Amino acid sequence: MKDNIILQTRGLKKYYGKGETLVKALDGIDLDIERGKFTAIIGTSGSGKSTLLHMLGGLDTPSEGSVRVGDTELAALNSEQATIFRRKQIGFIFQNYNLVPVLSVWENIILPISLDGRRPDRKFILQVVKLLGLEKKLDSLPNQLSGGQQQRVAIARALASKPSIILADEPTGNLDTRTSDDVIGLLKMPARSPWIRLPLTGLAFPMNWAKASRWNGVRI
Amino acid sequence: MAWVSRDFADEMIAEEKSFAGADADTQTPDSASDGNVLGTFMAQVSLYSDQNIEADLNDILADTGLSDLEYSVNLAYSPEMGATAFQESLPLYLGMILVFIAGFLIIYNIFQISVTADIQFYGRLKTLGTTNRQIRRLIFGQAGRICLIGIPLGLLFGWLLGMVLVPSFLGILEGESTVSANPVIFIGSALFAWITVLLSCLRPARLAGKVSPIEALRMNDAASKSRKSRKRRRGSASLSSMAWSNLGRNKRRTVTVICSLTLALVLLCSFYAQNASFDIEKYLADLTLADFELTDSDSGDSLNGYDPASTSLSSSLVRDLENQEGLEASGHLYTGQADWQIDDDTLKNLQNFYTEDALAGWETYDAAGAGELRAALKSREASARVYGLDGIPLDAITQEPYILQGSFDAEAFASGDYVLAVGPAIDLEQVHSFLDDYRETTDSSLPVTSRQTMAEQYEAETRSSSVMGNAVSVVIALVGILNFINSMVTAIVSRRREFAMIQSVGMTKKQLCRMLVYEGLFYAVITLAASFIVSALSVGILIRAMVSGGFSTFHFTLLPLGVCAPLLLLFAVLIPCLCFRNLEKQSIVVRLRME
Repeated sequence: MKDNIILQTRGLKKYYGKGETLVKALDGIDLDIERGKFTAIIGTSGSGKSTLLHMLGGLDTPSEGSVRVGDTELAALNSEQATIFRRKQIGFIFQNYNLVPVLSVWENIILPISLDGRRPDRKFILQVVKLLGLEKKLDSLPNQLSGGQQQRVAIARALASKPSIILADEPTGNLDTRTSDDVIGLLKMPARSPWIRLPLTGLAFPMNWAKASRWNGVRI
Repeated sequence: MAWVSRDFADEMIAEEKSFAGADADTQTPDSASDGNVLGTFMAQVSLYSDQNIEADLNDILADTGLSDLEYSVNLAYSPEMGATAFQESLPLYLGMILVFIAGFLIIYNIFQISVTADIQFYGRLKTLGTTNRQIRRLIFGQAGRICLIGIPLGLLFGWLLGMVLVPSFLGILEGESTVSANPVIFIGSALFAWITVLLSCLRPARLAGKVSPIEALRMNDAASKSRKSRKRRRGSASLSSMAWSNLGRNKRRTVTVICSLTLALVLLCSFYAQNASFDIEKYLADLTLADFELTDSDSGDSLNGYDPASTSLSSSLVRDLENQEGLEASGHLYTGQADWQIDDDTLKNLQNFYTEDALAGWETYDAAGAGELRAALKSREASARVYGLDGIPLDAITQEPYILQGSFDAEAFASGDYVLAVGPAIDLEQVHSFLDDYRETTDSSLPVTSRQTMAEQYEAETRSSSVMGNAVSVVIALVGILNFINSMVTAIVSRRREFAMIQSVGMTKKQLCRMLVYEGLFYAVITLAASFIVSALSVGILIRAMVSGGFSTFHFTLLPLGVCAPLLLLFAVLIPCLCFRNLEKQSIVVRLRME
């Protein structure tokens, strides 16, 4: 794999069912994602975008093919190894925010780090929190936040563990237009920000193809 | 008892009457005034109801023209016996009430959880135009259909279980134990279950009807219920802190489960402490003088009376027993029959004491005894039973508390026939074995009473109440465990999506399982702590007061709690693990797609 490629798939397939009920969600995807780039994967409804994202993040196992993140072949990892890899190297952002309702904003942000048994880099995390405008909300519970604020918390959680890749599945799907623009801007910010030295790669499914046209795009 | 022909009976009656100096042809065998039941007719009447027994019987006698007949009501139906029976049954009634409470808790918990979990569905219906009344009707209709299936099945299963368990609980008693199939039991149980179901649906039905459709869509067990939740301190997201926080998601459910389990444990401890406080030594000390007591076989024959010439308790037997190794003490009770002439002084004393009024009063309940005294006073001849004592019984009755005046001079006291007693130093099993052999091979009619047999007799008589008390506690404990299982399972199943989300950001399966186990352990620890405190109070104050005096020696014990604690902790670990294994059958992705 080339040095500038952070994520690669070859012949990636995912099938559900058998015989007459066979559904080919993915049928041979070859993908190369460059390090430090923002990549949008777009497609019609039911084209397999979320399925692809789950494969790339190690949340699901492919029927065939390979997924490599850096030097690691995800398909070769067992469930436990994949989970540990994911919390160290991949930041996930979901459409539904998926925050733990009984944990505060701070606890949600540091959750992957706590699960990994590491001590959080408080200085770095507080910088991220400030960047996202959450410094006054750290003690709040998720149900005390608006949708946009919750998604910012999700972004902060994804960034806090300093991952190699951020995978965002319809991050603005539940947000209004203005908040969507803010969130997309925030997703693009880590790659540009001088103080966040992360070779981040972001994958997102923007609702507005016009905005995505300024990024590297993949149509499936 | 022997069944004889009518002719034989008439012949015996005629002989008896001629012996008594009566005219056999003219005297009818209708009087038991001389204490002789030979030739009398007796009828036992069983009425349909035990209410108004005397009034009903008077009516029957009047209708049949037998109003002159004497009768007596079975003492078992006297008001005093009824009050005693109620008092003895009161703990069982209380136990039943507690079983009802436990049953209510579990049915309430199950329905409340399941209806609350469907509130999102009802919210969707509301968005399509379903009214509040229709929603409520839907909820209660579903509950009613479940009752139609579940209640008959439960009644049938309960009846079958009762048929098997109740006789084995009560053991083999004299006569047969019966399992009641009174319709009131079934109707009452069905009503109770149905009312409980309705009550448990009330709150969720009201909630589903009251909230707006969008609020209902947002409601689920996994999320906190309102935006007014308190703020949390900035801590770390450890597994144990997450588990502890999860306990507070649905406080009502958590408290219900803990109360249910605590109730069971407190009851177990209380019943056990009450039963354990009974001091058999105190009880037996009041009833027996020694470890063994032997009597002649006809000494208890109230019909024919004691035969002084009886030789069932032979001298060789007594000698063998007294030669048993380790015998500490023995004693004898002698009896003899003596005929004597009543002297003037005695006659005068008797006539002064037994006035005509006193004799008339005596005759109302013991005509035979009064008649014998009259005859003795007239003829100045009386037959007396003379007793002699030595050894243990003599020492027992001549203790200072029993002496009215003066002191006892042992040397001046002479002995007669005997009853043998042995002290506690002997190997009781060895003597038991000797006596059992003697009864099997030589004299099976020899009555033997021992502390052991009296203890066994007492235990047999009280077994039913102690077993039922413990059975009630075990039933409540089972209900508590079921409640715990139901709550744990529901809490896990309703958070499948949340668990998938946490796994997607990096929680491994082991960590998730450990978090669930922590939740179960927190449940168990809180329950045990609450049970310990309440049990200590219950046993230390209530049971202590209940058992004070009588044949009890209070011992503070929480042994059932000690036995149940490891079991509860085991459940607390096992159930989450089993639920987790079931959870993992669905992949993270599938669970993420759930709503």
